[in-house]
Amino acid sequence: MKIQLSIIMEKNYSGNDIDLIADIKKSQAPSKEKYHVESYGTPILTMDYGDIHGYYQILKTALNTSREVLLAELKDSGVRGRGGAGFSMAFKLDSCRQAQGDTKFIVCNADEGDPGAYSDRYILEQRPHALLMGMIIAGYIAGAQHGVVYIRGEYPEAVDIIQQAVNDLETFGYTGENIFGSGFNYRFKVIKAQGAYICGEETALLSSIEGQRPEVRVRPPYPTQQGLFNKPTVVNNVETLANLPYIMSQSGKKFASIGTEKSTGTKLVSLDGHFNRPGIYEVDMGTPLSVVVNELGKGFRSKVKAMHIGGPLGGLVPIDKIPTLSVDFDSFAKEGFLLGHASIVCLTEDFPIIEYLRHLFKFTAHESCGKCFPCRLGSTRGAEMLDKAINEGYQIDSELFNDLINTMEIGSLCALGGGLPLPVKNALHYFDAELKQYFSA
Amino acid sequence: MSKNISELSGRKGLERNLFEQLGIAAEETGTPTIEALESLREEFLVGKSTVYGTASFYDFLRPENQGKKGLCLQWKCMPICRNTGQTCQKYPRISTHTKSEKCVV
Ligand SMILES: Cc1cc2nc3c(=O)[nH]c(=O)nc-3n(C[C@H](O)[C@H](O)[C@H](O)COP(=O)(O)O)c2cc1C
Ligand code: SF4
Repeated sequence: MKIQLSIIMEKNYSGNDIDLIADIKKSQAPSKEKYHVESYGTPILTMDYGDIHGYYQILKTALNTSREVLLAELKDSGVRGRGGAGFSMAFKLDSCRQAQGDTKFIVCNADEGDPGAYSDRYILEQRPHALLMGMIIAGYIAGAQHGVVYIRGEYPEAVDIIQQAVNDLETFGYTGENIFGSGFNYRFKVIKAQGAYICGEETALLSSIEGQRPEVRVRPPYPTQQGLFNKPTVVNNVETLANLPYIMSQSGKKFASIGTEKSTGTKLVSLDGHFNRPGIYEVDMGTPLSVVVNELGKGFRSKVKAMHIGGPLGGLVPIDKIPTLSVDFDSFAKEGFLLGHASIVCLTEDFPIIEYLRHLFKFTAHESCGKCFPCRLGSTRGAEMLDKAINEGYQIDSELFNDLINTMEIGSLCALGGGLPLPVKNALHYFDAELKQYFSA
Repeated sequence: MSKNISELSGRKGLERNLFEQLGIAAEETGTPTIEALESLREEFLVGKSTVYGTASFYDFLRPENQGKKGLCLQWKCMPICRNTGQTCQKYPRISTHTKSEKCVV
């Protein structure tokens, strides 16, 4: 089945709308922003779920099934986290289920901070009930009675939509006490974030909800053992959780039959404005990247030399690598890249890679939580070196630079400092001809 | 932060949540006033450094961003401006542009 849609955002404004802010406020004129949504393969997340009461029959059936059976279904599905790390969802829920304690939490990570990523936003605004039902089912399996949706502050519309959807569920009795007479209680809390990229990191996110400075926590203990308020907690990405209604209604095996052996199901890919048709595309895992670029995105609007895939900590993929890659965790890992959250940001032919690297270091310096020195100091020192090379003709000592990125990679506490070296190394490897003038041998 | 303090600060849990209250306190002016921070500190039994340190961490709460709002640029959000081909110099966190200030690129 093929699904094609144009999402019109009536209350979301972007780009040059900033120039019209006074008029927009006066006239309340709806924005004409549009982005394309298409499914290529199996529509799981882009499928319209129709009447909400009919849709929630999936929950009713799930709550009348034993936790063990649902967990087995989830294991069969092989679903892996969509937030970046690709960790088994069943493993996390099981670990939380087995942890001691009466109070447990399911936290939905809707902080989607990767520049160029807006697939979680699509789910939050267009498929809110897939997410909310997924959270209730996850709560039932893990024995958690509280669900927290932590939504990026730059998505005010998503915050309103999710809060309204939660209110509707309370009205219908699909959340709260004794849902569908199952004896299971579940309550939601919607939290609006306040603008910090690091809050997407799961332990920083937990500290943020607690009202502490959002510094990354040392693991172990893992959140499933001691998470929010030191209680067992599962943190999952929006897209991961939104897959649960499909898995529970269609079976884990059916989900596992989509995609590849180790990357099951589908993935939402966000394409940026350098594509002829920017938008959100749902593809079966394993779909060739060339299909995404050429058939779905309809190619590039201008000459592009590389794509930054999977957020700022993802890999920098040169254009000639497109034919070797498919949209799944293993294909990217094998080629030395990272699928991450599968956002694609393009670098045009005439844009200097050295400036892009400086930007990445500056981004990391700005967003670093400051807890560990390799990232706190390394990001700033790296930005300084690149700045001097761009502005003052300074030759960066290659050995020093390599030491710096290796220290960040090995010594950082989380994947912000630890992940930055990946695109930097990709750049040094694939764009050596362009970069070598800035480095001493 | 030690486990004990963490437990204290979470004393009121989700219902009346410290982080949420910080956001509410900033709604009027874009940053919580010193008085609001003091009263939250007392209510939640946490140290000054916790509330001040928290409020100053976030782009939307810190005093220098008072009166600004962040908006997601969706598919136009990219490190390199589509119009000029330059990286955004003003906001390293590119997806955060502000309401009261024009995008500089
Ligand atoms: C700096 C940084 C930012 C992150 N941002 C996000 C984010 O915005 N959304 C998200 O789901 N995961 C993000 N993650 C990954 C989370 O730490 C965590 O792995 C994820 O939420 C787990 O959910 P999943 O298993 O469903 O993928 C980030 C990680 C790091 C290190
Ligand atoms: S790598 Fe950076 S963001 Fe992560 S814990 Fe260390 S200082 Fe904080």
